[in-house]
Amino acid sequence: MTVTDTQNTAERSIGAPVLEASGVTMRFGGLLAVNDVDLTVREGEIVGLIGPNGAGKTTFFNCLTGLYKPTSGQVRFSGTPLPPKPRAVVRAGMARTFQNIRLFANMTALENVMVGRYCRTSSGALTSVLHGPKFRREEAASRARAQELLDFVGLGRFTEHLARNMPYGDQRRLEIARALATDPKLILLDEPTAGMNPQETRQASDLIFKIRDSGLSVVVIEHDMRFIFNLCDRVLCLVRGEALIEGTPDEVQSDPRVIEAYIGTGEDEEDDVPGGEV
Amino acid sequence: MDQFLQQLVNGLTLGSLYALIAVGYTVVYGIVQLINFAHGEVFMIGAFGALTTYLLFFNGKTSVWILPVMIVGAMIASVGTAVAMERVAYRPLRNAPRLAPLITAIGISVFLQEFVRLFYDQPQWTVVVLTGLAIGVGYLIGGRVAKIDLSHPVSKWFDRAPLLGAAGSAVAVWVVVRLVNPDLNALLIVGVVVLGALVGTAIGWLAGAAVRRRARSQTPVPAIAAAAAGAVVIAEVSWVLYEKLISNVDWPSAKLRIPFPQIDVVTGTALQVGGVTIQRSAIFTIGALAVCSVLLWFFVNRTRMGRGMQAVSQDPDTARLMGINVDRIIVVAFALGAVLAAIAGVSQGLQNTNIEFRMGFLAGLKAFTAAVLGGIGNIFGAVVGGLVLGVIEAMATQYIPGQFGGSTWKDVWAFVILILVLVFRPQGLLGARVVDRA
Amino acid sequence: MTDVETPVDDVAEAPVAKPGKPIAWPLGLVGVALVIVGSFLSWSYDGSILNDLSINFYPGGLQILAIIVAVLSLVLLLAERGPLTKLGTWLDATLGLRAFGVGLTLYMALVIVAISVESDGLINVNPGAYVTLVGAALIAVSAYLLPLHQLRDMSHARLPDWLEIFLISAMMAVVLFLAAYALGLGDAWSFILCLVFVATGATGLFRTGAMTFMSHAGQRHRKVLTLAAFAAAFLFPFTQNGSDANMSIAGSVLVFSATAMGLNIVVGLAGLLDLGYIAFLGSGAYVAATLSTSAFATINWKPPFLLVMLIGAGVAALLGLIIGSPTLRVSGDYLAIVTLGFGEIFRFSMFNLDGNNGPNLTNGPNGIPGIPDLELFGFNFGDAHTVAGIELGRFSNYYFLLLLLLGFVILTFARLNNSRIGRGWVAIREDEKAAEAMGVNVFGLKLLAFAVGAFLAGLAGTIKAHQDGAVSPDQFIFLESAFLLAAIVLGGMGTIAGVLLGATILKLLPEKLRFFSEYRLFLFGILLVLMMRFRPEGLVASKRRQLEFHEEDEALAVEVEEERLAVEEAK
Repeated sequence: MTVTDTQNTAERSIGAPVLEASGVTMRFGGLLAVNDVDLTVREGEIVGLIGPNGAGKTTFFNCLTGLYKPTSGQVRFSGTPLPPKPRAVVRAGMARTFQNIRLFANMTALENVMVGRYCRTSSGALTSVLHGPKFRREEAASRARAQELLDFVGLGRFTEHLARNMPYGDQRRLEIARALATDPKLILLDEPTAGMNPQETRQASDLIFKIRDSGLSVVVIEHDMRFIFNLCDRVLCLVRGEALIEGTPDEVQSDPRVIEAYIGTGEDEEDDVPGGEV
Repeated sequence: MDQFLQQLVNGLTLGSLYALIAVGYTVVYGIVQLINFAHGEVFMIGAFGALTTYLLFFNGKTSVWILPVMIVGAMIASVGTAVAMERVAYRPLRNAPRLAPLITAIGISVFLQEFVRLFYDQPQWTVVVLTGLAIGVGYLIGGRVAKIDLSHPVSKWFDRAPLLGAAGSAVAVWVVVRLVNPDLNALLIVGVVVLGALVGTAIGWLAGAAVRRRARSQTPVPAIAAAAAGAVVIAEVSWVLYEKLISNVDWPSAKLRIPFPQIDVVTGTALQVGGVTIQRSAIFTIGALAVCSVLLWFFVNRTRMGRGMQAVSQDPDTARLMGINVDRIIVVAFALGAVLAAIAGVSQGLQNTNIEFRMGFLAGLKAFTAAVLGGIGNIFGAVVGGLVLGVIEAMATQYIPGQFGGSTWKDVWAFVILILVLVFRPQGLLGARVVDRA
Repeated sequence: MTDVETPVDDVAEAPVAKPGKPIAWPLGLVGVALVIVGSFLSWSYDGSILNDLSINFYPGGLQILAIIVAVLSLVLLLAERGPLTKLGTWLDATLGLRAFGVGLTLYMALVIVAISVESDGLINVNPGAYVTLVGAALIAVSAYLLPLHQLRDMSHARLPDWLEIFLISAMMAVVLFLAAYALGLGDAWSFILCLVFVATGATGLFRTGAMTFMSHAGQRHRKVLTLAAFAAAFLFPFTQNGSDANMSIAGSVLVFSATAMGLNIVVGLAGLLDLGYIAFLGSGAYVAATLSTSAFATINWKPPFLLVMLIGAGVAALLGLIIGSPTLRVSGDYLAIVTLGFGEIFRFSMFNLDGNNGPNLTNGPNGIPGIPDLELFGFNFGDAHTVAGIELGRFSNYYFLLLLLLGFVILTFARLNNSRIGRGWVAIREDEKAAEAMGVNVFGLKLLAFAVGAFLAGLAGTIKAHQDGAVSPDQFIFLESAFLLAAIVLGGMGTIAGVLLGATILKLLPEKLRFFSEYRLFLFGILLVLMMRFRPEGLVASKRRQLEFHEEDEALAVEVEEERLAVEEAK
């Protein structure tokens, strides 16, 4: 399957807003990492989030998913406001991957993905010890779904591999599978193609389209411009914590301020924003 | 009012003790993020070091000039223990998951307690210990001469075999000959030493030949000879020391509390200030804390070593890039804690008039509480935390009414405070100084 | 969770094909012959020591052990060259022989030392012993000269099902008889020699790869393995010929094992450092004591024992929740100290609540002695019963009850491990923040781990109170928590067999090797330090924990991968 520009302009239905983040601000002491950023994501959209290093992209993700409590601003998911608590966020239907892969290193691939099913199952200690009907049902279902997801991302043969032993590219895909296991409506991918060669990048792109086609919305942080512009319906560019421009790939690509932000005018570089990693 | 002041004085005395020990915990945690669970035992060993010095050299006397010597003896014991602990047990586990150093520390703690108990019960075991030490030191000497890094992670047993074999067999020869003939004149003793060295060198060389193919490097003969000679010489010297010094002392049994020598000036009749009784030993303790605090401030803020410690506790990798010998700084940190703990040990002995091998456990836990209370990693937090904890303990003992007051429950308060601090204000009173490595 | 539990060979000695010297095989044969002949001769002049090794052609127990090793060596030699070569393509005869040879030589050296020590002098050692020693040394030497082969992959080895089941059962039977024999040995030297024998045999079997095969077979026939193990444990009291002495020790071992397995949930699965765990055992014991019909019991309600068990476990679980709620938000190192603090608070409380310093709940420092035996459904545990002609005394009764308890604890552990909850625990242990980000209820699961662990310990405590007949505060000192933690770490955290092994070793050895009792704690401390330095993953290591601790070992990582794939294919 090759990626062509026509994929993006097909008549797919872009639906109701799934995520509405408004006025999100994150302040660390005296440092303003994210400053009044708005983002709306609709059903079936792929949105790209770009910006130079230290622009606050990952911090913004952290604010959306409750890893940080934003200084101000509101995040609405499917209409309802979200509290800044990771579990509530996941339960509502927003999942994420991490910039520096955070898999459960000493668990197998299958087990990693099955952990993602935790919030969608409810077998307690009692039924687990007694192997009651609920336990058996949920366990079989979780296992099947995890296998299904591993097949979906192309890791179906590696179910019993320890996560720490898998190659880097496979680890990234595993993390995506794990996030998908939480049955999200929106998935946030933080630099999914970091460290990948062009072929792997293309595969990642295909995978993200597959994810979108299965009914999810996607927000992607990336530095690879060609990747972003081939992939996304809309792009938001952050610079120094502020939204610089939001629009279609063509609009953003040709905006002189974006070019300046990335290539610079020869003046001082932006300071690094802390909190880029959790 | 008098009662309040009395308890205040008691509390400050107690607190000074906690403060001195707490610094050790806080400094080590600040630098290597490790709770040195065995630090309480370092305190205990300091006290016993002082006692041993006294029994060896000054038994029966009480002149105040003995006190400095005892303190020095205490410091030698505790610093030696702490440094050995770091080198042998903690350094190899720098990058291990959290559980490993914790269990090791528990093991060391138990080991040290039992070691002291056994030593005082059966001092002839020192010979065995010293023999083992002789082998160890010989091995290290050989390593130095050969310039091999013996603790390098890639070294396997066959790299170490020649040196260990040399030191071990040299000492074995010495043991066999000396067991058969405990009394030899000087010339024969020299002969035994030489014989031991030669046999050791030979066996070490054979061992080296046997593992030649698999070892990382060839151990040169001078190193093997040095190991053998060093080991056997140390064995002989320590035997002489034992004969002359240790076996002549009537060692008290460690199963019960051991009386601690009562030195003039710092013990004796208490001073009366108004309605408050101040023990002389209390003055010593509080005074010691004051002096140590000043010296500590100078050390940390005005010396190179001290600034290096600050650097390492903030960012060891960058410190390393700046040319700071991080390993040495860590050893200094352990030693620093040990020095203060030694002084605390002497104070405890003077105050309580007796010591026992189990006294480190509870004191250590309370001192750790003090360190957390003041702010872990923060040296002056440890001092403040110690004083505050001591005062709280004294006040609680006096003023909590009903059945839960009094001295029977006094040990519980420290733990209660620890839990409260960790839950409600984990950075302590003065703020923690630890880099978040998460 | 899939978990393959096998100790791994020293990777540095992984065999690559190497030719041997032709003299090796005949030399080995000579060695075996010498050992067998020597063992039939008398070893010692003095018949009163070491269960009588002094009669020619009538081998005593220790001599029979030597003969067994020799026979096993013979089998391996025949596998190397002779009628059993087909076996030799699977089993590594050379490595096995090396282990047997070295082990047997060590064994014989110790025998000679033991005889000299026990009967004043080397002169009392008869030629038979020396002959056996030489034979053993020859086996060892020959083994180092034998060729090394490239072997077939043991994970593909398969025997007919009935044979595998038979082998599993036979292995359990061997363990049973060995245990009965070893525990029946009176003097310390015999026991040590028996231990050396077991170590030699075990190492040899591991080196040949036979144990790897058995472990795969066990994975294939899991139910049989569990059943056989329990049958062996169940039959143990019947091997004691009516003597109750060892059963008391066995009972203590079971209590300790059950408690350690509970701690295994907290530390091994969820990764929570709990240093005050003994308080949960203690609360169960104290509840049982105060509710018992002892003259010193402080509460006037005497419910039936089953209810007491539930109350005791419930109180312990409640204590776990109370302790956990504030402290589980705190990071790992601090959690250890705080739980230690709680353990000490528990002990102080038990010590102080004697009416003077608090309500009289626990009778203070004297504790509550005089706890009568259990009565369950009219069955008094204090009475001796005769079953199938063998008399089973008081301790045997408690043994069976404790075996039931241990079974329940292990079941709970295994089932929770392989469930959503167990996965959540391991996820928390691996990366707490990532687990939270994936929707895992981190705080709730931590609390659950604490509560479940406490509940199980409380259960064990209620039975312990009746078995010991008395409770007192100094049974529940910090050192006991340290022992429990050590049992888990020594045996292999997070594994079932490992924790059982560690608990057995730590509880059994001090009992049997009484002459060490002065140095018991001293050696314990050294053991902990050495363990963490050289084998922190424990004796029975799940491979993944070995990887955790030996990160630089690439060969090991590859090995783990292949083994995992093989197990998967075998399913």
